[in-house]
Amino acid sequence: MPDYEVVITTDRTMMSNHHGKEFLGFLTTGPAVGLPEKVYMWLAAPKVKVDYEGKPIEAPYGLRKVEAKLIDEGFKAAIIDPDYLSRYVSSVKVLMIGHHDFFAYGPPSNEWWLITGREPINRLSFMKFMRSDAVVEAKRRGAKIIVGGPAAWQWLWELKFWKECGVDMVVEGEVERVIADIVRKALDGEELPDYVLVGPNDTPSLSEIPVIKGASINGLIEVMRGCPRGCKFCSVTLRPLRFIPLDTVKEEIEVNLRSGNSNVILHGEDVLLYGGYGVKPKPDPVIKLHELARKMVKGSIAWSHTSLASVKYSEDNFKLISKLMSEYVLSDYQEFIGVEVGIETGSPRLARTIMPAKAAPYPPDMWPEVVEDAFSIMHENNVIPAATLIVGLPGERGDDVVKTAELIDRLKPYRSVIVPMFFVPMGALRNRDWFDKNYVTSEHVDLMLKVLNHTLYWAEDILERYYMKEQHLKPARLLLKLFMSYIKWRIGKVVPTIATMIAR
Amino acid sequence: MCLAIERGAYHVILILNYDYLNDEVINKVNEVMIHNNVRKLVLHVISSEGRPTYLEKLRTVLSSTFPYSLVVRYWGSTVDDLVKIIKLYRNESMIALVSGDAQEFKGVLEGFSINYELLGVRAYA
Repeated sequence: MPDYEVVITTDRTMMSNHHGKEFLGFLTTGPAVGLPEKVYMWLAAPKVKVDYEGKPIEAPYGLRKVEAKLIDEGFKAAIIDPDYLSRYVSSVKVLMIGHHDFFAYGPPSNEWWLITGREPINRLSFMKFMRSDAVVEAKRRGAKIIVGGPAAWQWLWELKFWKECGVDMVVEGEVERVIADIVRKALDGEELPDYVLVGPNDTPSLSEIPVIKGASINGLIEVMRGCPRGCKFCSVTLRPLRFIPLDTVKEEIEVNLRSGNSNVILHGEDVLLYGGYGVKPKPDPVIKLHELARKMVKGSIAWSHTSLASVKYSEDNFKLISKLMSEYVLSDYQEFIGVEVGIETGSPRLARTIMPAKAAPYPPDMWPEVVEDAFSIMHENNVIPAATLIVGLPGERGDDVVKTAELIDRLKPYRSVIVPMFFVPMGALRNRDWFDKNYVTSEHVDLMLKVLNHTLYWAEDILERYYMKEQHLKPARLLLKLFMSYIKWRIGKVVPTIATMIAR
Repeated sequence: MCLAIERGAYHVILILNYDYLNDEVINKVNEVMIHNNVRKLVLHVISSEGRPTYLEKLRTVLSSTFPYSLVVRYWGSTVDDLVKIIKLYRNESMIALVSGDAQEFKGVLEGFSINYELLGVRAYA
């Protein structure tokens, strides 16, 4: 068994391919309602396959980047599945732990927690992992613990747990340029700072971002970093915009194919802006990207995120959505493409204040029209959006919420899932107050009920027509149906009480 | 002992007490960074709260959208700890921000000719 001096890992809710369905991973942001916790965990985050060393065949993409950088710099580093960490407690000198949402303070976890009063399973699973015998023993033997990832800021709200676990350092931001030096100093026994925030001047250039060495969860690979829209609630837009060259995209798809991943998820904040001019999509680079993906990948092609303005602009000007879907995406193996999009608000006033470039190149006053047109385009082309709304944005008024509810009504005919999120201070708004249940108004409740009805209706349709239809996924599909039925039943019980509250 | 990300940084010694004002720290740090045209900042913290509890008092500061790289180091709570910082970093660009009534620390800063500001009251060594 090789000795790894640097072990990179995370808990089960992250170290999972969610039955090959990336979107199913969102179940980890909620508490185990309606199902026993062990069953819920199996549905939301089943174990991944590992090799004889306990290295996962698929691992979170962010961890893969850190692993690749450290290996390139000559360290004996590896990602290890959390169930196999105990094999390395005697060799590990630096234990690096990443996560998307360590303590469920991010959206939508914090919202489900607020609504149900129960801690989401991502939080429970992570804290249990940190208290596991393997982590405790590694620490006892002198390993330095370094934690990081997009949710690193959450440790500032869990200082008691930080102390309990003996975390040596928290690092936030894009680490490729700095991580080798940090690990070197840790291995040399030097005193580490408690907190490091990597600012824009220290973010890595394209040449400093390594190619992953192992497969990523569900074939996710990044095609760009950053976003030019500058929405105030967003942390990603604070990063410089970079497009990953097609050669690198090709290499990373090959890494995944070699490990048996036959699908690809193209990750970016706005995939349709790949190679574009600012906020205007440019068709050629996007087409080349999809040509490459389809040439290499026989399975499904997915997008992580796009913007509704890009959808509308690219279809209106270039018929790009219909071209991509008909010529590259839809196949014998793929009937639809899923993608996350942001609605955030249906109020032009709030859009102007909080996200003036979200509708660009269209003016912010056109935002509701952009949303509706984009939804229509996506519906016609078998693109199924999972859309976010943000409730409780700073400066939000009652009529902003009403306008959002009116927009949701207009989106009824379009196949989609809509998820409301409570405002979490991030990005340019990170020093504002959190939205909590004391701020919930009758307009909010009305909106949330509309969204819930919309999502339940279309989720059943999506599950029936498209989702998890593979033979080996029958048990998971059945459980998911049961879970949705339970949610419908629970809401049905609660709605009359809520209706009374609204009437009062 | 410093990380590569700390090289070329501006160093701010924060001597914290209960009654320090977040906004003043944020404003002062921004002023110093803009004036010196630097994009990296190291906060050296002297606090009786201990590690990592002292970070609770820095949450607002750390949550501000500084467009800089930021490193936070905790040194302890005593005058000797302050002297350690000064001796290690005396050749770097540095300022100290002192909260509350901390006569013993002010004496040390003045002794080493370190520019400092009282949070709430202006004073220079």
